[in-house]
Amino acid sequence: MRRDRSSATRSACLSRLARLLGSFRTTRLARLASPLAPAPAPRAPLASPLAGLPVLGGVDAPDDCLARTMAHYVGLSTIFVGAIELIPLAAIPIGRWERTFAPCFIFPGLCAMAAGYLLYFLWGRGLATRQLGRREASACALVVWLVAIAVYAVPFVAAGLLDPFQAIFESTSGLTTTGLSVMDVDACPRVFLLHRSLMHYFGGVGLVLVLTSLLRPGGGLRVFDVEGHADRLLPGTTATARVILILYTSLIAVGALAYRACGMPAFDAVNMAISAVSTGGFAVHASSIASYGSLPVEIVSIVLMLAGATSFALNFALVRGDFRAFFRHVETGCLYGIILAATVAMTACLLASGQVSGVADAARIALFQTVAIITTTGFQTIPSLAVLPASALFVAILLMFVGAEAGSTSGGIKVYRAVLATLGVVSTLRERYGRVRAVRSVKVSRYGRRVACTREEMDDAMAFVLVYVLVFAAGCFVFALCGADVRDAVFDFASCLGNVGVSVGFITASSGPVVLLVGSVAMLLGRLEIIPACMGALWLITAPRERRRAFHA
Amino acid sequence: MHEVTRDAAARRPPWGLLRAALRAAGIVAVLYAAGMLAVYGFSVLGMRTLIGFPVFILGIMIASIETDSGVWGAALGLLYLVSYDLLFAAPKYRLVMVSRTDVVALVIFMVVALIMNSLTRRMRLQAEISARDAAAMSLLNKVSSGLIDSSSALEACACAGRFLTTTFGRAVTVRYGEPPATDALAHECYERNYQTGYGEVGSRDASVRYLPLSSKDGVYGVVGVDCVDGDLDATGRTLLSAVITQTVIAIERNELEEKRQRAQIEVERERFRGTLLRGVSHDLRTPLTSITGNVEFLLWNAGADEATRHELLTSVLEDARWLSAMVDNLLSMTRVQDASTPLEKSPETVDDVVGAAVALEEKRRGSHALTTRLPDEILVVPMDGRLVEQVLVNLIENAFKHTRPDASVEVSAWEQDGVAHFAVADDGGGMDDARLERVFDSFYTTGSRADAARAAQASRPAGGGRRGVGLGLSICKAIVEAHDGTITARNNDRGGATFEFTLPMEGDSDANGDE
Repeated sequence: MRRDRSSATRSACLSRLARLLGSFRTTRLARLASPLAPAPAPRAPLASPLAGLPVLGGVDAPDDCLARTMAHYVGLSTIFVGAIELIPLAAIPIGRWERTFAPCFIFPGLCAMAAGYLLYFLWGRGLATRQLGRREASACALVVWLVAIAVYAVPFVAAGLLDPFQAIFESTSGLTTTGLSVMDVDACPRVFLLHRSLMHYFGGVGLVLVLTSLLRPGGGLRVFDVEGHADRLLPGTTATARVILILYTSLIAVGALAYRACGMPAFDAVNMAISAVSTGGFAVHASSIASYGSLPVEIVSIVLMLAGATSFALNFALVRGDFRAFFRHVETGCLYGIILAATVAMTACLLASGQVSGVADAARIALFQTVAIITTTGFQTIPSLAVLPASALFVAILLMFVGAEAGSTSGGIKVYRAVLATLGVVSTLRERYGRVRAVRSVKVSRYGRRVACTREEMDDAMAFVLVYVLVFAAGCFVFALCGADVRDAVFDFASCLGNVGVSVGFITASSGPVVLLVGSVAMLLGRLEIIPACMGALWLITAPRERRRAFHA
Repeated sequence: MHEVTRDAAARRPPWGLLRAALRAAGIVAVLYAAGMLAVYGFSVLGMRTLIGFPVFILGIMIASIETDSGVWGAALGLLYLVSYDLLFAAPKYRLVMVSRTDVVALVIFMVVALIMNSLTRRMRLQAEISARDAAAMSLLNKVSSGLIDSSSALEACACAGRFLTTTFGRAVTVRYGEPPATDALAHECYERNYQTGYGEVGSRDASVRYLPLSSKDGVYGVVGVDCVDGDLDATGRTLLSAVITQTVIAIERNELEEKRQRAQIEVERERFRGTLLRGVSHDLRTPLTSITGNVEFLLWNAGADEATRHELLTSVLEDARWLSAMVDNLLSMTRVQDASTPLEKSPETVDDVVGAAVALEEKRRGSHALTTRLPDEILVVPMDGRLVEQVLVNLIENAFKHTRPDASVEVSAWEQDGVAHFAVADDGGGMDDARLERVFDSFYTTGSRADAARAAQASRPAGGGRRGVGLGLSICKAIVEAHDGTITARNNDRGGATFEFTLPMEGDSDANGDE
């Protein structure tokens, strides 16, 4: 045992020191005693009193501590991920479903828990907390997400429903709350439907956030910053995490009740509520919301989607009764303004193309789809988006880019960043070409207060937008290489990157592994806000090599 | 160091225990659920559910490790067994506990739980021990720096004593030097250079353990460790021996430093002697040359007349006497300055000493008048008679040399306030103040070499007007101060100078008694 060894070596060090001192006395002091006498004849080397003692020299390796901290967090997270996988089992006796699929969840879950515990026990046990830097935190979060994707993909493969690439795609889609599915939903066993919804639940709010709220790691795990929750609702990481979780779950509960009140079966109600609030998009029927064909369901869905797409900070403010903060927030106005504009535009497109007759119908469809797309949920009330006119599809693509509010469960660039980027560009242009030579500060309303935006924030926003567009371009290119035409490539990749979940039909169950993998990577990048994910991946790749270099230097 | 762990355990608050219990219960619940699910999964897959038993053992192990005790692990094992019997074993939903599988499984579970329990306890102990060792190392470091800063052996011992007392939480005394004979065990430890006291053979009911501060050169002192609450443990003993060794090193270093300083003083004394010899040898040569010359003349000139012969022989006699007095002075000086031979004081009668000195000088007084004035009662003073006689002789000689040829010199002695005063006073001209201050310095003379040389070639005044080496009065001062007395010079009211010195009336024996 490591502790055994270290305490044994320390005791050995003490006795060695005592012996060393004894031998020091007899040699050095003998020489000191008579300064006029000649130096005594050289004695035998000092080895004799020290023979037989263990060598003490240990090399100080500070990187060990970092690796062990990461092992600690990743191990605990993996245990948790495995435990989540066991939750659908609880529904089997309740719904009196078939037991045959139980092992598909039990063993992957238990193995994940065992593997996580092994990792924690071997390397990360009993560790005092150590603050992770940004890169290490990003790497940590990335690893946890990858592990979760792999673990949640296994049941699909074990049950024989999907092949490995499809399973990975499905689980990524679930965790990132995208909602693109390669499964035949109508023929899917209920336990798997529940599994998918649970993936939405945990992925929507953030895996690491849930872990943080439950396990209370000291030292402030900043890892869930990576999952997009940059606002601190309450002082303290754990408190914030808990508040978000409570809000989230309450919204879902209310939504489920509302759906039930609209006449949905209970199972459907729960799953759809989860899907709507997490802005995911998995449905329990192949035709999604359209299968219910009822206006109340659509209205409830719209409300839930908007609630999910509102940032948790604003939700918290609403719950506390702080309406001013809600209404005077820049994103609120922009979001609803965009929704309004897009709805009008899409209604016009639909009417113009002649596919839909009647303004009311067109408006209903346009509103629902606009909200569904801009909140990156992906519900559909029309059978397929492929038949929509190109103008409508273009509006949809723009909406997919913008996304909804920052700090919510939705994806895309987020309204706040888009606003900042725009303001940044406008202010740059004004400085360059404007007539009035004055230095104007850019002000934005945040939660009811006017706050000046710093140059860094605007630069960050513009940088993110550019990176987003670059990744988008690269991905579209790859899709095109795999055989998609431009419309399909752009639409589907934007859907993946923005975690939206609507498709024009390029990504299907029969798509090749490359398409599915690229789609998965895009979904993960979109969920983890691209830059932290890349930082984490880079750190994972370069860290071992750097450490080896430092060792041998 | 037993106290540390005991206190730590006692200090844990009760709600902390409750929280620990809740955590343990949660872990056990999770493991229980996992174990049951695994068996359920096996049963659904159609595999033999006995495979669950290794899973149960794994669960018990993890439970024991995570809850730091085997009790929870054993409880979990029991739960597993009961649930398995209830839910999965042949007569389902009924508890039948007589099958051999159950008994064997139960025994194995309990054994595993026990083993894990002892393992976790050992792990915890190891952690505590290593923390203690780390503390001991840092303490050793602190002690070393304290000892290095010490400037004497006593300080080193005090420093070590303080540290040891604070560390061990018990009284530890580090005594430098021989302990008093009243403390038999400590004395025995010091004499025999082995540990005595608590726990050693031959000492019953001893509550203190004594260890010697020893090196190959001998024993420097004794360390006493209070063992009323029991002896130190292994780590404590090792630490104690390490600190003792360091203290001994510090003591030896300090003692070597002192030795070096003493050696330095010796070297300087040697140098002083060398200077003295050099200074003196030249002045010894002169009279010797004169003696040789005179004797040679007398030998080769047998027909010299009576007057010349008388004159030369007188000169030779005077030179010889001068040489003899000089040698006496030098010997006295070295005797007094050699600290290794202490002054041998014995009670001497003042009358005898003064009488002897006067008798010696009577022959040389020439035209001077020499009188004495002594008290009527007999005065006995502890002194080295020879040396004090030398002082008186030097003072009288001085008076003869530096006064008018017809001056009178008076030697007196009296007792006042328990101190014996001696005075040599003359009326042949005093000294100016500058000379009075410096008159007792070594090698201080009146008159330069040139004058002395001219005086030597020219007439030879009777009474030995030869220039001295300048040691006479400084020797007097040294001798008087070695007797713990004082010597002063002043001009008196008879137109001359008075040299006065005091000697304390208490002897060495009284002084020893006070200590």
